[in-house]
Amino acid sequence: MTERKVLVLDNGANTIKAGYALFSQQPKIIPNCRVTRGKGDKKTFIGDQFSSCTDFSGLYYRLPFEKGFLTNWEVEKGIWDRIFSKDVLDCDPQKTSLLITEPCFNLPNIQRTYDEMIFEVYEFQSYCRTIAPWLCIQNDISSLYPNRPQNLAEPPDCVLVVDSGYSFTHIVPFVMGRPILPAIRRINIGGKLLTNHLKEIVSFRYWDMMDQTYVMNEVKETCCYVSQDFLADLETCRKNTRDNPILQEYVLPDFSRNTKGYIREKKRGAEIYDQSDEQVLYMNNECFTVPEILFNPSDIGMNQAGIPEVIVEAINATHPDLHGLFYGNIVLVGGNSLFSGYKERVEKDLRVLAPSEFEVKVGIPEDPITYAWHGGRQFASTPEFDERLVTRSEYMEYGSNICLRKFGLGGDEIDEMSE
Amino acid sequence: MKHKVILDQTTRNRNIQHHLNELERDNYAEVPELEIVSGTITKPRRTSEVDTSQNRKTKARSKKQLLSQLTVKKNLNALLEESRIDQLPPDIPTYFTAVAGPSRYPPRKFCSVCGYLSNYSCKTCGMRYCSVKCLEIHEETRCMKYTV
Repeated sequence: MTERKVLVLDNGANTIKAGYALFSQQPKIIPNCRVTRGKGDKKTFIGDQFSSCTDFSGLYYRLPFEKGFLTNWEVEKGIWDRIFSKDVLDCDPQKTSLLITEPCFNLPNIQRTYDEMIFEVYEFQSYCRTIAPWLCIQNDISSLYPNRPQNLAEPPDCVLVVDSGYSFTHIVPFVMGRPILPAIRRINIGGKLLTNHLKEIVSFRYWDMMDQTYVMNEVKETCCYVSQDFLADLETCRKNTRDNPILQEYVLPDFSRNTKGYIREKKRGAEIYDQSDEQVLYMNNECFTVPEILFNPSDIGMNQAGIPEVIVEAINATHPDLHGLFYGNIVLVGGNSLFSGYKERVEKDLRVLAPSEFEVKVGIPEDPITYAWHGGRQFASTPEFDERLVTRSEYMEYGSNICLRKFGLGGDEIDEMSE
Repeated sequence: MKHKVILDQTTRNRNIQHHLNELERDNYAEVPELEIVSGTITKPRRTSEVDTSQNRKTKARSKKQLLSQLTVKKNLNALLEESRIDQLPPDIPTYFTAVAGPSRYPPRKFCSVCGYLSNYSCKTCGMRYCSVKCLEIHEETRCMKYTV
């Protein structure tokens, strides 16, 4: 047993966060895709190889995930092969325990494929499959709320995790470390949709960027923010389209002199007419109307409520005695949590929606992307982890059923807690 | 005079749904065939080194078979159907039951051209616009071009 390594792999639809529990302080963040350059050398990059790519125009993406579910195993296997190889993690599956994440409400037939892939194709010594929000709550949640009195520093009984990732956003309430399955809610909006939406409006209004997913994702990450007063910001932009504090001038990369775009200082007066050959993208109301979709999916015609409303919906699906505890222990994770103003907006909107007798507290980890991985690292050192593991020999004897039994998160006793 | 088509609500809703599906695309253009070259993929790690040659052969073959079974590409809709979770009783939480409900507030209306608040919708296709200027751009570039 001493030789065994534990590999924690948060298998996100956009990036894989992977590293050994005992040896790494930080995970490697690896794109979960196979990218082919459409022009020129037609080179293909798998997973981490993408970091050697310097020309981001005209890329074709092959993603193993479709709407958040792992559907293309051919691509995923190529990426995992690469990650387990000597070049990246140097993993010998037969001597390794794997802790891997799956989406909430993963389909049973897809789960079977996980089991077969991990035990029969890769032959891992043992493995545990769980959802990323559950790994998140293995962290020290109370440290996210610095103003809390010391005597409450022990882990809270109720936590509500809002995981806003690449494919969708999940709201997952936990009681005593277990998810309340009937109260989990999903909003079909994630980072991918936001990038595609930005790409579309920019292509319609300014430059044709439809083929430039990579560049537009960078623009989104650099310029976009969550507005605290949406209508006021909109009015600011409308009144003066070229001279307002919201407008940003983003210099697009041309892949010969600059491979990375950046925000340039605004030009004033006569400078506006200077003859520089930079291609500039003026980001005006696009800066905040794009992340706004997380809060109002109806802005693009999607018939779903936004994050704050759905938090309320999820909490209302739990036992009334627990509502106050959930409002006071909300954790925001996932890539979309990196938008500036995101936490403040969730807090602000929720304060309006929540019953006035409850305190609303929203916490956000320092790195919302790797938070689940860090939780997984914590979990791997607990005795509970060994109980949850299914070994390869158990699998060979009992088949996928043993995985179903051991990895199942919501017990019957939890269903009684919900309404 | 040319007969003008006016889309009914069902078609308009379908167009909105079509647009939402478009926003889930991985690539704007279709992936060209050249991509299928597999030469660059790293070889899977050999794990069964202690086996006898006879054993290894059968094991390798069955593994290969399994792998080819597992890597058959199925799209999510096919998998959803195959999983039969739609046939479970409604009190068992699944992918379908977890979907968040609609907002209790009415949707806000934005101009499809400039993105600011809009008070009007196109008579023909139902997309929003805010001014005569935006309506002109809309008619020139977008109106009735979303229809499949």
